[in-house]
Amino acid sequence: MIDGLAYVVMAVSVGVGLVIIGFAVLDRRPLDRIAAGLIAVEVAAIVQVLAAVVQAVRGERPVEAATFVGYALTSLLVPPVGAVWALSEKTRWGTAAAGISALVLAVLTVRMQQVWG
Amino acid sequence: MASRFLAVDGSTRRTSSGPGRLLVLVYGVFALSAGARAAVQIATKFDEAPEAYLLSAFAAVVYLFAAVGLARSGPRARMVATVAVLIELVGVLTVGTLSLLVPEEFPDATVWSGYGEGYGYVPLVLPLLGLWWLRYTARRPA
Repeated sequence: MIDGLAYVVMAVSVGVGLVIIGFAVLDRRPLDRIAAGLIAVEVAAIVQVLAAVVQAVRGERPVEAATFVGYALTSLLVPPVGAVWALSEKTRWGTAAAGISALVLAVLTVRMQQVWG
Repeated sequence: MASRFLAVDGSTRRTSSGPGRLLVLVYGVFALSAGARAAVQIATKFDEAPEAYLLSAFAAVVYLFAAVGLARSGPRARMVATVAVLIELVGVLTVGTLSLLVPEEFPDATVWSGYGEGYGYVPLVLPLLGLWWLRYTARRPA
């Protein structure tokens, strides 16, 4: 994995997640901003997985390849699926859940770095 | 005792709303990540540590049942969620204790090894939150 890219992904994930949780705390629900943030998180996840695929094709493989693939697939699925689940509840708890689904990408990125070696 | 979680009279609050939305999300993430990981491990290198991979797969199924049980309403879903969360609690306590007592039997880490230390102890806290939430919603009708 490219460490610099991983840190950007974590920053996007944590930043978007905290802002959305902030909206939840304030009991606000600006859907356009929340959606824009979650799309940024998903784009970051896609870029990171594509970069890992390019590295793997060039011969740089993760140490625990199987685990890495599992986490990579999860990192692509969590932001969109989590967002749909979260935002289908129109309360601050739903908004908070959307924020958590953004934060999950940061956790998965840490795990992906660990198993990459 | 079971009725505290199950509320057999049916006067319960939905487990999927409010804080339950967060809980289901976290259970879903664990089901997905443990499941994807176990599936790839079993498919590609099952012989290296079959027990650990099967245990991860089992944990993923338990998380899935908990997520679906909490996400759906009705007494049956509540029963499924309660049983899944109890199995999860027993699992994390048993595997956590065994992984510390006889580490040589656990060559490859699972989600429950060391009481979930590899996952910020979320696997240990999650079943406690799950049981609390099931009990809370059973006592308070919407």
